[in-house]
Amino acid sequence: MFGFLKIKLRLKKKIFLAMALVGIAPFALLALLALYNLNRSHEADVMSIEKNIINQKKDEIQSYLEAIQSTFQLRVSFEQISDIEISNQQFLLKQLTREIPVLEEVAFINLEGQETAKISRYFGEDIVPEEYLKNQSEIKKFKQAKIGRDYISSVYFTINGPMVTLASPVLNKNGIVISILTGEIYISELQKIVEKTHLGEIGYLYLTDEDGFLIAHSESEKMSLAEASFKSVAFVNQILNGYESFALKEKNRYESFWGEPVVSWGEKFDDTGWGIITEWPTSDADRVLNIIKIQVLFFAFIIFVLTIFFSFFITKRIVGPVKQLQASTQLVAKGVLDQPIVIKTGDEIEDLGGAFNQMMEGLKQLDELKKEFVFIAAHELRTPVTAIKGYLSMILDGLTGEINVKTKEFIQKVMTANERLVQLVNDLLQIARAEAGKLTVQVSAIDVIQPIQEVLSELKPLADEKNIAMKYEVANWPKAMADTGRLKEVMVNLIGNAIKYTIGSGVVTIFHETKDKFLITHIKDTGLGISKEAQGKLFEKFYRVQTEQTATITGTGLGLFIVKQIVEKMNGKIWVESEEGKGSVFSFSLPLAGY
Amino acid sequence: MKDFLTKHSLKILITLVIFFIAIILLQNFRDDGRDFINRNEIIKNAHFYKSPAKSVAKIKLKVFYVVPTDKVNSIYGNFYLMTEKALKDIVRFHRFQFRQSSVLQYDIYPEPFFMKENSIFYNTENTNHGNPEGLRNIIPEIEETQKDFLKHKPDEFLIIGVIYEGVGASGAEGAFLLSRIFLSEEQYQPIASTLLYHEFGHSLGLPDQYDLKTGAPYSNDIMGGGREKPIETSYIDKELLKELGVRL
Repeated sequence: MFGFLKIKLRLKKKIFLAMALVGIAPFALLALLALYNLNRSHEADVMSIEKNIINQKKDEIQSYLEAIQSTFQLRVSFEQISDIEISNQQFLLKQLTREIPVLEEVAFINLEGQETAKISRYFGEDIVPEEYLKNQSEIKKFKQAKIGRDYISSVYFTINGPMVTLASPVLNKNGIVISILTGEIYISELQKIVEKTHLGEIGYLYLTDEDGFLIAHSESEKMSLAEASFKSVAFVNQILNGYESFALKEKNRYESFWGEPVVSWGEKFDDTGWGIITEWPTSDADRVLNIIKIQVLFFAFIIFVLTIFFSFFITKRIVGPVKQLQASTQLVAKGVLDQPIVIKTGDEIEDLGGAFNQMMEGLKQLDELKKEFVFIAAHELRTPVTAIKGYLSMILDGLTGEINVKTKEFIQKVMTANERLVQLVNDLLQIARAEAGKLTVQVSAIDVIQPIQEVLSELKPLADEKNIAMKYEVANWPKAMADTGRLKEVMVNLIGNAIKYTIGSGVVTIFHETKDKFLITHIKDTGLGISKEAQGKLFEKFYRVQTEQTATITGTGLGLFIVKQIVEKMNGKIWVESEEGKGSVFSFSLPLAGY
Repeated sequence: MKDFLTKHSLKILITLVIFFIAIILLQNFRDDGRDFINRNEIIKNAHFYKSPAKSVAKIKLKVFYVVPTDKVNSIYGNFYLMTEKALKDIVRFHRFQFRQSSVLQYDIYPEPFFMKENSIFYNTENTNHGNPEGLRNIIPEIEETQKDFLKHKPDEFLIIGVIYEGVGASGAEGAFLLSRIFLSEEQYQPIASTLLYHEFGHSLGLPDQYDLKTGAPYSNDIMGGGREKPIETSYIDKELLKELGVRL
């Protein structure tokens, strides 16, 4: 699980990733799971509420229709096959009209299809005169009732309201059809059944005929008999085409006929083909769900922000001291051993800082011992190597008698090696003094031209030997704050190097400039040049540029280190600009006198 | 892979967080507008009876009170208000039956329209089958002389309505005739608008829904037995509406 910790990442990122894995990921997964289950459970709840309301209203509507139909189901007690007497028919019709106020028209039809008695509101709820009675033999209601079946027509929409035609056979005692009782009836009562039916705050229910035309709506302001077919809503269309709502579960969210997003449920009446639909605006149906979701999102966001905040806090607490340790380590690598680390975390990291300081103390003691040893060794070596140099000079000068050429040659080599040894000892002594703080400079306002000219004279034979010209652009430069002796040491070293690292003939040019209260001296050569990488390490102790061309050139790698120490001791700086194969320019600055 | 993770670890983490948030948001905000079919795709505009190519989505009814020469003395002075009242009724009835798939608008010619000939010329003595001959003779004369009044938009279905100062009631494609008596006489008042719409129905191609010889209805809608009921309780039969493109 924590394999990513093995990946080469910054500690900061690792901590953040770990925090994220521990903090955010499980919460996000939990939140997702919770939301998924919440959604499913909510969908089931909404479905259940809508389904229950539909079932309840469907039962009420069916009961109402059955009750009306049952009033048309007439059975006489006699066994004759003859029709009911007209006067009795008229009496019965009057009774029916009184019982059922929503009847527009009611009539008896004999088995030939002729209306035999009729009452119509148009005729003032009175018996319709005989000349107005019609032959209904071609009408479907007659044909169906005549064969003993109850009839209910499709809904037809009049200005007064939706209506249906009912027809039922009139049976004698033996169940034989002797007449037909038919009526035209307003079904506005259905509006009362569905009215005020609500789901939540604003959910509603409506009833359509088989073609999707509105019969009744629970909200009277949405009820219009002139409205177009609701089959334009795919869900309603499919319900009316016989699809079960369960099969349309994934399609029951849509924009309603009135343009608002709703979640709906619906059922079809098997006998009439009508549809009963609930539509619950999602703004209401999903209100609680949305609140919970927003809360989950809010907490997810807070946890995300807190995780980031704490990861940065923890990162700072852990990585900060580690970085401090890293910086101190780098200082130790550079030889700085007198800057103890200060970590106050009160934990193992503070202990680590303490241990680091102890280590640094130990190293400091070792370094001082080393320096002391080098100083003493160099100092003690100086006397014998000087003595060797003297005696060798005497031998070469013939003070011990004449020596043959071969011996002279060997002694000359010993002499050269001894010279290098003398130089090394002097350099080591110089460094030891510098590191021990015993490198002294006596700075005063001097004219730098005279010491530089002396150095040039001193090195001229060496340059002439290699056919290297030395140019010094002398001008009236202001005085600089320097130690004459140390300045000469610096110039000997830099010009000597320029000569040493120029292969074949060349030119060494020395010139000055003033800049920002400093006198800058440049030593430009046409020598081998130094790579960029080597330039960075050039002033380090014992560093020597190792190339094929420099392999035969002798040196200790201490000269430029000493030069740097001296220049800095005189409050100046030293730097180099060089390009391989094109020569180098070594420059150092000295403060101008009078500032 | 390691290099990729090393370089982009923070981006990957942020992407993951955004991914989780996106899923949560998706869970929260579902598409609520799916599967809604444009109403116009379902509601077909009404057309002439059994002729889907002939749209009656917009109907312009131009109504004339037509008076033959020999009936000038019988002019019904209140003809305009009487006609307008019945026309308002049939516009309302039409709206209820056609359910937004057809809009009926009317213009009433403001003056009585005097015919060039006497009643006998228009064959109005023969009222068998509602006086179709009369309609055939009257319409050309109106068309010839009232071109400006009959102007209408190209997408409008023009119907000329004749309130006839004579006898008869009939209708054919684009025209109908109804005796003024049916609108003005008290005995017809409850069914005046029904009769007007019945004849108007013929101008849309609707056939009579009763036996012309026996009067026995095939249906009890406005084209059948219902033509003798007040317009408020009448309707157009479902099967006829299907042939008009109103019902599916």
